[in-house]
Parts: sequence; structure tokens; C-alpha cells
Amino acid sequence: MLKRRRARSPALGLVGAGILLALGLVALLAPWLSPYDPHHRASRPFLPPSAGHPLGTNDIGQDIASELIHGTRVSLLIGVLAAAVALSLGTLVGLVAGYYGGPVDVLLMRLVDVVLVVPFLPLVILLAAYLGPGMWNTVLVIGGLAWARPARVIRSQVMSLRSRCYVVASQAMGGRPAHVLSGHVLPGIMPLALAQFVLAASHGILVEASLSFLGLGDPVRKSWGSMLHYAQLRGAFLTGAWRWWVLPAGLMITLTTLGFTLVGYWLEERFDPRLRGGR
Amino acid sequence: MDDLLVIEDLVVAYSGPAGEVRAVDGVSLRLPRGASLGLVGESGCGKTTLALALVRLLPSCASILSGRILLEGEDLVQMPETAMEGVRWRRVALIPQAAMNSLNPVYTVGWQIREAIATHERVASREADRRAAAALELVGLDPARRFAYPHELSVGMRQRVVIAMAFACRPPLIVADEPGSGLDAISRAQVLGLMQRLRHRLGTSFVMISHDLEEATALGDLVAVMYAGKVVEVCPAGRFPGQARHPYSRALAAAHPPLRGPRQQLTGIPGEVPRPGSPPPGCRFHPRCPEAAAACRQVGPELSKVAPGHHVACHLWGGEGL
Amino acid sequence: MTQARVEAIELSRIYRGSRRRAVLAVDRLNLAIGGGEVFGLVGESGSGKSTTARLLMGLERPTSGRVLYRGWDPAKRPREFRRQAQLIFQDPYAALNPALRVLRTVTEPLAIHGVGTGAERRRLACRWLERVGLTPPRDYLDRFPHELSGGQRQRVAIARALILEPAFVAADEPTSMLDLSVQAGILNLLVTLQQEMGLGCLFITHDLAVARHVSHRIGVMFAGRLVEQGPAEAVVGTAAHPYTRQLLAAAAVGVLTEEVSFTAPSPDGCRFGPRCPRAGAVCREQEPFLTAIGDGHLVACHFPG
Ligand SMILES: Nc1ncnc2c1ncn2[C@@H]1O[C@H](COP(=O)(O)OP(=O)(O)OP(=O)(O)O)[C@@H](O)[C@H]1O
Ligand SMILES: Nc1ncnc2c1ncn2[C@@H]1O[C@H](COP(=O)(O)OP(=O)(O)OP(=O)(O)O)[C@@H](O)[C@H]1O
Ligand SMILES: [Mg+2]
Ligand SMILES: [Mg+2]
Repeated sequence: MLKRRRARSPALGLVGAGILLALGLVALLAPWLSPYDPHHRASRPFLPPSAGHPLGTNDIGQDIASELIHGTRVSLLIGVLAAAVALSLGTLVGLVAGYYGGPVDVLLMRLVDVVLVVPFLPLVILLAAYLGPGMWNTVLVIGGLAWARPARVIRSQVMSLRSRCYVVASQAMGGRPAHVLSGHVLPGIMPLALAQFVLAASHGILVEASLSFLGLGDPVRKSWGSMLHYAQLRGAFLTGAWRWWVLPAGLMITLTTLGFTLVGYWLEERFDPRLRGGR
Repeated sequence: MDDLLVIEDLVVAYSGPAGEVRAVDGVSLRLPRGASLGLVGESGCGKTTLALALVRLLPSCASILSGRILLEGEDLVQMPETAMEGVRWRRVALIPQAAMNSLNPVYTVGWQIREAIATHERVASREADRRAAAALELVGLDPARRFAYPHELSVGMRQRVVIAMAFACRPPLIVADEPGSGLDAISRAQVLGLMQRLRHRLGTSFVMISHDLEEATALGDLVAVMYAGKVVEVCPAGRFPGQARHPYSRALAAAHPPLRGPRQQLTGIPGEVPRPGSPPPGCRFHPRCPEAAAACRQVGPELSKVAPGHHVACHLWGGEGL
Repeated sequence: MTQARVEAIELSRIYRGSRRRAVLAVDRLNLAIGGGEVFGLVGESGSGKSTTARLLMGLERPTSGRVLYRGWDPAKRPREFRRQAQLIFQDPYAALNPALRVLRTVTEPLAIHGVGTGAERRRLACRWLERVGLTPPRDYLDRFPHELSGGQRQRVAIARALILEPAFVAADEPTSMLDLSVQAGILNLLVTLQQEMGLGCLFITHDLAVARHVSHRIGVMFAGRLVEQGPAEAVVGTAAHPYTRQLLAAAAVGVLTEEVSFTAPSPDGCRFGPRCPRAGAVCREQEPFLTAIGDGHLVACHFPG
């Protein structure tokens, strides 16, 4: 009773936010930050790191550091867009299922179960291969399969909001579902949706990297995944080149996912209805 | 005398966009060990704020600007939060206003009472369950209800569950914020009876906030009347409301419809409650006071003694100083 | 006889609680509230008063029985019904959306039913806040519920329910958190509305004196059943049911000192049996039904008096 659970310190969340902010800046300022145009041959291929090329050059002589910086743009963009698609779908499904309940809910939740139990990565690969490479295809494939988790989380929140007295009061005044949902339920799930969005973005970036690594990404855009793809293709894993060709891209992916995850869990914890309760 | 609780010149303010709002503005009260205090006052006059300050559970936008709260001689205002955690529920418990909302919706009420008992005493789970059932019975609920979730109970039943919980911990001081609102006359009388027994058996003291004069005087040795953040009258319960002196106290007593006799138009108290942000100058009650004199518009009256243990802040009753 | 504003016919609601316990929250309730009439409903906490209000407002489906509004089925014309009938919820801490400011909360019914422009809604909100005693209203419009005291929240909820000038209001303990002087203002307001606009009202309260003051008729509920019903003066003055008597006694005395213990009533008998000083053998075997003992005064007791 009335005992306030102390939330975990926000320090980790702040670290995550810092990482994301830095990455966002890098993505925005990529043309100014990168020493070369990543699409042009700057030097001879397979150069090791030097003063002119801090991370050396790749198989066709492009500057790897510039690739890395420009890759931030594509990776972040795809991750965020995919998360937006996933969240829009997930929120819609969660709202409808949670609010109406009954057979609609049962049907939608069975669908969620199906999406959740099919092996995710193989299905993504299959779909991406079928649709062909391209940024929008990647976004749609990831978003179209990643909505299930947010849908389930949001549905349970909607169910708890639906029985709140003030939601019932709105219905009692004659509020139509659209009014009640947009006026009372949607604002109530916004924080949760934000947390889910951040987590989905982290997931999206990872999946995008996997797809690009497999050569199923957008061939004309440089992303971290596609860098790894070419590094692998040219045997960088076998020579010493992995240290400057593979490792930085891998680290960037890890760092980004970490940033998103930290922020996501922090938000989730902050807005978890079970932690919020009380007065 | 051995005082359980002494409040000295307490000021609590909410900070908001409109600036600082002093909801409790210079309250001083004294509660001897084993005695109980009834606190009445108009809606919005700062009773809940005072109660929350006593257990240091004020919301983050509120702060104690000055004053002291001495519980058994220890100043709660200065106490660090970690030490305060040991004080709350063990030495002073709060039954919050609208207590029914402080139950956790995902556990059965029996579980929550058991938890409350287990955090304070080491008891076997069978024993804790038995005591939970007994606690419910004490407040007039079917013990089988301990398997119910809060939403399955009526508002008054939930209120009684929280009351049962606060009693389970047996602290020497219980601050009860309108515990009887939402209870029918019989349940309320039972709860009040329970409080009285606790007082006699364990010497528990109560600060009983209520807008119901009967409830405030039922346990009270003392009654304090608040108006717009200030205590305007303190008197022995026996003298209230019959011999209350402050015009506000007397208006309060006249505002309740009688149970017998002819129906009459309720008068209430005409005029507006002053906003806590900008109280009127002088006596805060003067714009609504039928007997206001010139002095009332300029000088705020101090509490002064009109009878043993009876203090009034009103120019019309200028007795000896405090 | 003029048509009742709201009518309940053999209304029942059974909850299936945890551990498969069935709770008979409302049991075969018959009730008719006319226009311009205030029906006071009192009774033990947990006796089904709020459930009755929710059933009348169509917020809950009855297990059996039905509700009529002006003779028609509210479910058939939900918009019209929702515009004319309003509920004041019992718990103002839960009934206000914590994320919305007072202005949005109070004008929500206007927004839902498309009444007025923004400025008109604001003016109406001010007017009703003033009428429930939140003055000056400008001070309150931009506040969030957590910035209000309990009684202030309660008055916001009342203003919200009345702003559409409904024809029927179910008020579930609307003054439970108000001090007497403010309560007097609200009660006077309700009486005025009832006299001027012919408001029909179900007024749930725990305070018998308040019930007598505002209502024309009073019903007393116990364990889901109406055990006594009649003109306000008769029910308070010449109470016939032992439960009503106990209520009145407790209201007068204030403190009950003897310890209570809970005994479950026998399944077929009178629900009040275990607590009844008059109970005889017949009370354990047979449930009493409402029978007239005076002009419109009904009581369900084998030994009324
Ligand atoms: N968070 C806040 N920000 C600003 N003002 C606040 C806040 N909380 C309360 N207030 C104001 O402080 C005053 C005192 O509030 P408090 O809750 O202590 O009143 P109360 O005496 O308990 O009233 P009631 O009997 O209605 O519960 C009220 O006028 C209220 O509007
Ligand atoms: N959702 C629910 N599930 C199970 N039981 C319920 C539910 N809602 C109410 N009940 C039960 O129905 C009975 C009547 O409840 P109701 O809220 O109508 O009481 P009330 O007369 O309004 O009481 P109070 O004065 O305390 O508000 C109670 O025994 C309660 O436990
Ligand atoms: Mg209060
Ligand atoms: Mg109720």
C-alpha cells in the first residue's frame, strides 16, 4: 500500500539518449563530417589505415571512414521508418483488439501469435528476397513483421485503460469509440508506444544490417550491413583487414542498438503502469 | 506534557505556473500522547496537504517552506528520506483521502493485507492469512472477500480494506483523511468504534480529517478548524460545535440538514472561498463573515485563548494571548 | 399516472467473482423515478447502489430484467439517451482523466454532442463551475485533476454531468467529499434544477439527513434488494424495516462500540436475518417481499414495525 517503488536510476537511459543524440548528429552532418564521398574511389583499394584514410579503403578504393559515417544515415533511417510502420500497425491492432474485445480481440491476437511464433529472420529473408532489394522494401518487410510485439503490449494497456472510470465516464456521456479512443485511450498509451517505438527501431536496425549483410539490402545506398557484406565477400574476415573494415561497422551497429535499447527500457520502466500506479 | 506530535508554524506551498500557492500557511498544533485531533474545514482549505506533509508524502510540486513537525520529539521535516521510510507505517500511518484508490489492482485484497502485516512483523503465512481475515471482519466485511480483487468490491468496501490495513500495522499515530466518506452510517460507526477501541487498548492517537462534524468529534479530544490554510479555532471536542466561537465554525454547524423536524432551506456560507494563492488581507474569513468589523479587514487575528484549551483566531473574541 | 422518467423492471445483476463466488449485486429491483422527482437511495456499502446506477445508465448489462427511459429502451436510441441522462461517478479521483485540464473535462459532453463553439463551451464551463462553487472559474479551468482537492474534483465531476442540462441524473454520492457549507450549495443547486427544469434524479447517499432533505422518496437497499421504500418523511420518520432503524440509530449515535462478526445469511431466508434483532424462524426459511404498509410506503420484512 502506498509504497512507492523507486524507479531505477535514469543514468543508463541518459547514456542511451546521449548515444542516440551523437548518432543523430553524425547522420545529419554526414556530408560535412566525412572526408570523402563514400561513392567515389578515393585511393587504391585495400589500403590499411593511414593519416589520409583513418580506416583504410575498401575493395574498390572507397574511404571506409566515409562509408561508415554515411552508413549511419541509412541505418538509422531504415530502423526508424521500419519502427514507424511497425508501431502504426501495432497500435492500430492493439487499440482495436483491446477496446472491442470479444471475437475481434481473439481473432487479432491469434494473428499476433502466428506472427510471433514464425521464425522471424528466415521469413524476413524470404520476403526480402521475393520483393527484391530496395530501401522501401526493407522497411516494409521489417515493419510488416515487427508489429506483433507492440500490438500485444499496447492491447493489454488498452484493456486496462478501457475499464478506467474516466473512460467509462466518457462512454456514459455518449462518446463514440473514435472520441473515446482518441481522447482518452490513445494519450494513455503514448508513453508506452514511444518505448515500443524505440525498441522496435533498435530491432529494425539489427535486422536491416542482417539483410544487407546477406546482400538483400538496397544496393545503391551504403549501410553498415552492406559494408559488412562486401567485407565478407572480399575475404576481409580472413585477412588482417577485419580490424578496420569489419570491426568499426560492427561496433556502430552494436552501439546504436545499445543506445536504442537503453532508452527503450528506461522509457518502458518509467511508464510501466504497474510502476506508475499509486495516488 | 508529553507530546506525541507538535506542529510548529508549518508552511506548505505548491509551486505552479501561477507561482507559489500556500495551501498550509503557518499551522501550529499540539497533540498529547494518546489524544486525538479532529480536523475540519471547508473543501480546499489545506487539510489533505497538511496530512500529506505529516507523513512526508507530498507530491513533488509541493514543498515544506518552513516550520517543524515533531513526532515524539524528532523533527520529520529535516529527516532524510531513508530514515523517513522507517517512520512511515511504523510510527505514523496515513489513510489517504479516497483511500480506495491506493489498492493495487492486480493483487487480491487479502494478499495486500498479508503483505502489510508481513512487512512489519515476522509471521507465518497461515497466521498472516488468519489475521487478514480477522482484520476484514473488524471493519465489517465478509472475510471471504479477501480473495476478491479491488475492482470486485464496492467503493466503500475498498475504503474499509485500506482502513483495515492501516490498523494491521499498529502505529502510535494514524492520520486518517476522511476515512468515513463513502461509508454508510453503520459501517462508519463500526469503524469509529474500532478506532475508539484501538485508542483505549493500544493508546493509538488519531488525526481525524473530516468534513463530518460528528466524525471529527467522535474520537477527538481536540477539534481544530481550518480555513484557507490557517487554523482558526482549536477547542475541546465537547465544546464543538455547540460552544464554537469562530463565525466560520458556527456557520459550518448550521449547514447540515437536520434529520428530524421541518425541512428548511440550507443556507451554507455565502460568498467565495478565497483562492489559496491570494488570500484577502486581514482575517481571511472577513469577506464572508456576517460580523466582520473594520479591524477584520486589515489585521489578521492570532489564535487567542477564550477558555481552557480553547483558542480562537477572531477579533470578536479577543481573549488573552496564547 | 404520468410516465416515469426512468423505470427499472425486475432488474438483476449477478457478478461471477474470483473463486467462482457469485455476488448478487442487484436482485429483482423495481423502481420508477418521475420527472421532477428526486429518489434517494441509501443503504449499506456494497449493497448494490452503484450497480443500480450503472444499470440504469446502461453501462452494465443486467443479468435479467430491463430498464426503460421515458417508456423506451435506451439501447435502441443510445445517442438521445446519453445526451439526456448523465451519471455522476462515485469516485472523483478515478472519474477524471488525469491528463486533461478542467476545461477539457467539463466541456467533454459538449464536445461529444457537438454543442456550441469553443468560446461558447468555455463560457458554459465557467458558468457551471461557478454554480458548483468553484469560483472564480478562471482559476480552475487550466488545472489538472491532481492540482485539485478531493472536494474540488467532485465538483468538477458534478459540473461535467450537469453542463448538458440533462433530464435525468444518477448522482452516486455526489457530495461525499464536500464539507457541509459547500454541500449545502450543491444540494440547493440540485433542488433548483429539479424544480425549474423538471430534472429526475437518482440520488445515492450515505447521509440520511441529506437524503431526506433532497428527496421526495427514499429507497433503502440491503444486499442487493430494496428492503424499504416510501415517501422521504415516512421512511425517516416511521421506519419499518429493522435495517433502516439501525441506520437511523447509527447516524444519531455516531459510534458503535460492540465488535461485529460476520455471519452468512441462510440461502433462502431474509438477507438481514443474521443481524436482525427481530428475526424468527420464518426469517431463515422465507425471504420477505415488499408489501405496502402505508401510503406508498413499502417494506420487505416479516415483522415490520
Ligand atoms: N498540485 C497542486 N498544485 C496547485 N495547487 C494545489 C495542488 N494540490 C492542491 N492544490 C490546492 O491547494 C489547496 C488545498 O488542497 P487540499 O487537498 O489540501 O484541500 P483539502 O482541505 O484536503 O480539501 P478537500 O476537503 O476538498 O479534500 C486547494 O485549493 C487546492 O486547489
Ligand atoms: N466488477 C465486479 N465484479 C465482482 N463483483 C462486483 C463487481 N462490481 C461490484 N461487485 C460487487 O457487487 C456488490 C455491489 O457493489 P456496488 O458497487 O453496487 O455497491 P454500493 O452499494 O455502491 O457500495 P458503496 O456504498 O460502498 O459504493 C458488492 O458486493 C461488490 O463486491
Ligand atoms: Mg482533502
Ligand atoms: Mg457505490
